[in-house]
Amino acid sequence: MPDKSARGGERRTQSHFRRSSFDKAGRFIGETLGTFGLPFFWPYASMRAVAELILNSADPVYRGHDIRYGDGKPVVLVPGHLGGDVTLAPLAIWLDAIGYRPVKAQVTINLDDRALDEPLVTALRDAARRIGRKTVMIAFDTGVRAAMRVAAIEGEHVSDLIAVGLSDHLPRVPADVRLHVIETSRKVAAAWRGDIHIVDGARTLLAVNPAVLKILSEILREIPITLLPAQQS
Amino acid sequence: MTLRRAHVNGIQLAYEIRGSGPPLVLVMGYRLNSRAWPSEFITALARRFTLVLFDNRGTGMSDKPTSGYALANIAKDVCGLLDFLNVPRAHVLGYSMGGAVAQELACRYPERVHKLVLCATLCGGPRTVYAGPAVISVMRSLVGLSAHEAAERIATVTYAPAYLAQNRERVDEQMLREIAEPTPLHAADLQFQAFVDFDSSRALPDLRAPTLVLTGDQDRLIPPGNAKILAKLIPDSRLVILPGLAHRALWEATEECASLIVDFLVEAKKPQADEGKRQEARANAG
Repeated sequence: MPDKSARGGERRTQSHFRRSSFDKAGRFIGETLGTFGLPFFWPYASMRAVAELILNSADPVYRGHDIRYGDGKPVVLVPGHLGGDVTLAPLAIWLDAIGYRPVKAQVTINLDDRALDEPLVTALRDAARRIGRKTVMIAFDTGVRAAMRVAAIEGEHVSDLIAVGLSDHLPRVPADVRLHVIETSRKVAAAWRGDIHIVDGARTLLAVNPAVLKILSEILREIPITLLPAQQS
Repeated sequence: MTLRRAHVNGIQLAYEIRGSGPPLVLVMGYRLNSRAWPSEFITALARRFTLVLFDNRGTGMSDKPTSGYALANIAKDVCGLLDFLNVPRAHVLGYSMGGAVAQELACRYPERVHKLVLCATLCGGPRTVYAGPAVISVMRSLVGLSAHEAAERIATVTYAPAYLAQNRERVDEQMLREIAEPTPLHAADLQFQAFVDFDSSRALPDLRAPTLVLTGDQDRLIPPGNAKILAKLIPDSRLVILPGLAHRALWEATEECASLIVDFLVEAKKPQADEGKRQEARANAG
């Protein structure tokens, strides 16, 4: 005789798996629409982004003109939705050239920000211990959520979080971590209660937007060095 | 050597006094402390001058704060040290980044500087002749290296290759002396940042102190073109470019450099910078 209770359990597992898959897919679609807007507008947004890239391509900020040199702070880069270490490579190269120590979050592609926590904690701890200072995190849209979660538990290794493009459902800002916000969407900016820098340009290109880079360099320059306790002694 | 400590400009600065004669302050360069001066150089200068040797903030036995590394503020440290020692006026010699500090000192506190010696340094700003990418990469890739490894790496771009090959033992001895009290990474980073920010090109045409600009023609870190610019911008300056020497010219030809410096500092010539020369220097500054 077949075991009814075992079959029931199997059915429950299958249904749970189906539900969780639907949840994941739904969440992914929601994030994608939230980040990039409705698909109907994608061709227009893509053309606008290409035009913006071409127009900005000769901006002197990329060559470090009028940019104040850095103090070697470790800076962990957290990609936004569908971004990864590769999409943040130009920013990493630029930060390195202006005197910081950018660190990749070891994320191939950010499909779900909840999967970022573990690699982020590892990257953060490694960078802070290697350089002997608290790190700064620069996080993009949904990556901000992961950065805030990680900052809340890794306060001893993070001094500041720079959010470039906010997303919804943000966790509470950790008390001992300073938050700086750069945003392109005036709608989101209006809803934000803290200090915010507003820039023009496509949200998807914030990582290479010259106005964002200029603000990033100013914010980073003003952040004081915080040595880890082992270095202070 | 026993260093004493003075409370100056909000920090404890380690210093030492050697020799006798008119006061001469020696300002050391990036990442190095006062133990790095070549001992024969110190001995030669101490015969004619009262040397004020000190560790820049962030190096040696001085405090290593996480702020205040702007070269103008380090010049304020030096000025405070002179106040502490009751020295109203002194000759000032600066090597590399120390040369930039010496310029800040002479421009901001002209009454405190008698004569100026600038060794292997630059004036900063848009006219700077930068080191090549390979040299910059060596200077910036020091994270994770031990003090000895970092010093070895830096030596490859600061000494002339021929000197390095023929004087390996001497260079190693020097290196061990320099890293006995290693400079922490944050202090080195902040010194580097301050050196990048430094720009005295607009202030130099008004410099009153007679100045000797000294460099080696093989200097890859601060190419000799910078010394030529300095000599153009400083109205009463003398330029000496020593052939075959690199950034560590003072170490590679200690006797020759010491003799040049002593001759310049003791000569009783009156300052030569008339208004015409100043105007020419201002025109050079653009």
